[in-house]
Amino acid sequence: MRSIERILTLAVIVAVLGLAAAQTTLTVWMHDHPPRVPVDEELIAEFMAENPDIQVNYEVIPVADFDLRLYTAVAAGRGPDLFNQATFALGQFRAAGALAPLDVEAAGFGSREDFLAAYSTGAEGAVFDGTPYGIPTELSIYACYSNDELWEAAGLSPAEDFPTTWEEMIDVAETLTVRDDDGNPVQRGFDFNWTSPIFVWLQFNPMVTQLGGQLIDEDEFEATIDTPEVARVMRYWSDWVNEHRLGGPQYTGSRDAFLAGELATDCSFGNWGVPQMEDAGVDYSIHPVPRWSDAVNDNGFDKYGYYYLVNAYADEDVQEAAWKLAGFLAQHPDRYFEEAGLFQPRVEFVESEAFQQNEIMPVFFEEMEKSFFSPRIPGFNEVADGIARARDRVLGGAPVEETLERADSDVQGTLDRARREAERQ
Amino acid sequence: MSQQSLPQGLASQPEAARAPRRSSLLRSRKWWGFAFVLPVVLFFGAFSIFPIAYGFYLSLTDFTLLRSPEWVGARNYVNLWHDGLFQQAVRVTIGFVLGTTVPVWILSLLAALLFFQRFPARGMFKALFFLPVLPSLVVVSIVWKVLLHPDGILTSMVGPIVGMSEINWLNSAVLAPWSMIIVQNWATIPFFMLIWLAGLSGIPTELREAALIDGANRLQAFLRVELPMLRPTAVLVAAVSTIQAFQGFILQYVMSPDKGGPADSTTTLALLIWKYGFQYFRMGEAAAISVILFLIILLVTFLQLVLGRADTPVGR
Repeated sequence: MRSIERILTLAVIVAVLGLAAAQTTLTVWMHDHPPRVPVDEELIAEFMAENPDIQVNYEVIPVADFDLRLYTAVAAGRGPDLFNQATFALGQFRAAGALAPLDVEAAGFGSREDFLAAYSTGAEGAVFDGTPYGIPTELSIYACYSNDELWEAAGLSPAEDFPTTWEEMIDVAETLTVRDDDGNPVQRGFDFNWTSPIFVWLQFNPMVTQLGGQLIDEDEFEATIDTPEVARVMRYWSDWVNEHRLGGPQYTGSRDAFLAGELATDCSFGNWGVPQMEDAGVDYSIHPVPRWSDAVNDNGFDKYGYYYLVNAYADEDVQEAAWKLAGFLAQHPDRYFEEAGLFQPRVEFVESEAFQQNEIMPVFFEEMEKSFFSPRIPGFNEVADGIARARDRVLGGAPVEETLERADSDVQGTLDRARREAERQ
Repeated sequence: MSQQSLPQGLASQPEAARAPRRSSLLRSRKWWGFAFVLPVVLFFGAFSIFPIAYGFYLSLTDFTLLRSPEWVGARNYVNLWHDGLFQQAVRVTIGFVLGTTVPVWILSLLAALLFFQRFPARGMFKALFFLPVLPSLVVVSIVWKVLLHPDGILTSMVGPIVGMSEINWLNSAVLAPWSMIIVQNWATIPFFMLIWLAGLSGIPTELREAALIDGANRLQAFLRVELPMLRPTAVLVAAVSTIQAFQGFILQYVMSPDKGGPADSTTTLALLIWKYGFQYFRMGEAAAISVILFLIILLVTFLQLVLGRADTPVGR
């Protein structure tokens, strides 16, 4: 009897040890977006139940800490196996060889073509040289929100009078602007977002693209800043501040000002801005971003996305398990949209009745389809700073052509370094 | 050590037999001493010496955080020599250091001399004057950012004098560096005033009185008697304020547009280190700037200490 007990005990120990040895452990890092966390947790529990050989350690990192923790962890060789990161950082990660190419089979897509066909738009944001490196967790773009109360107070109808061109925007913004006795705006009609150099990419760059130009050539690592298209947009922004005195970096940031009722129109909110409008009690409507009257391209502001990415330094079996999990999570765009407000552009979701009948999403989706991603290069922040520096110089009175020539040279230095970084792979 | 002071039993032993045990005891005490200081030595080594040495090593590498450091020798230092941003940051830092040291020394000394006098409610005024030191510099920066709004309270005070209804204190490449200097002075003068006050309190009143009795007026007594005796305090104030100024980061990070703007007019060396390291992923160059900044501070502080050590007639 005792020997049977011993054998059974031994068998249990061997089974437990064997299971532990066979289990693949995954570490997943996601930004702290509170509405998404319970969805992630529920789906991951479901995934682990279906895949008992995969153990998932899910970690939620505060947004403010995320990038620094991710970079330092990867540098120390202790980075997560699966993580979420934006298009802005993809160039740096990819150039460093830190991204594993998408394992389409493990992720359940069958082939690269099937993966790309599964998304209406946005999947291309993580494709480099034809190879996908990520699965979208969120696609976003800005549209223009009007504070309808302020518009009506100025005798304008947002539905009928919203400007379709940047030229018209000056007149409409002037009508909406309320000034003090000295002519300083106490309520602005519209203003660009000046709070961070990132908006050079998201707002300034697409205005150049509309004219057929570009700030840099992503493929050639070439600065194309000293061009007539960039000069025209730069003059528009400079005149906006200095000649028309309709706004500028000295005032409260556009998002805060809009929510406070001090700005009648803002074009730096995505679809995720709706809860903030409702909390602030703003009566709003949503409109496409204006184009130039002689626009060459019909794009809105630049779109951006977040993606499930897999750490190239992880073991192969871990990478495979990570893609399997990412593919599983990506099968639930309806839940992420309804419960967390995150838009994952899977074709079947975009074609669903729930999406089609949504009040605001068609405007954003139409803009996404027409628009581009900002360049995904190493040195993304440095180039943005270089262009913002040129913008500040022009606002301060420096001649446009001379400033752009200097900025072109400065940014080319950054791009030369970025090229060397990309070629080190 | 006398025989009486030795432990019982040891004194009764022959000298030859005692010698080895005594030296063994001394050795043992020596090791115990090492054992007690070891934690501090390890802590200092791990958190001070190692980071400095590692920082110096990184300054000789190409390191983008996402890849292992790659040895490049002195290339980062050579690149910095031609780097426009670095040159701009050096100019900004020198301006900030000049603006937040010399005025601070003079104004804090004048404040100390004022509060060294007896007058009604002196304690209350001194406490009020000291208040800016209490909140952290981040809080100070946020408060001043509001005060320096183009339509803010400072504009309403200064605007009518200069005939402007809006003043871009923080968004003008000309005014922004001055705004940083003014806020830094406002926040640090009270602290250095306290140090001067401590120095003034340490001067024997007899010396001052003797000078006055000998016919010196108050200014002469201060210049000839008190000021030379304040030399050690002056060295301390100069060294600490200079180091603080060279490390200027928080005001520029929190108050300026685009963290160091507009057009990098407030980007100090310390802020540039952060930008290069954590925004541009040029960690090797960031480390090289750190080393250069470290050497500059070391040199300036050394010069101040050497100058402060010079003999004075009063010191003899």
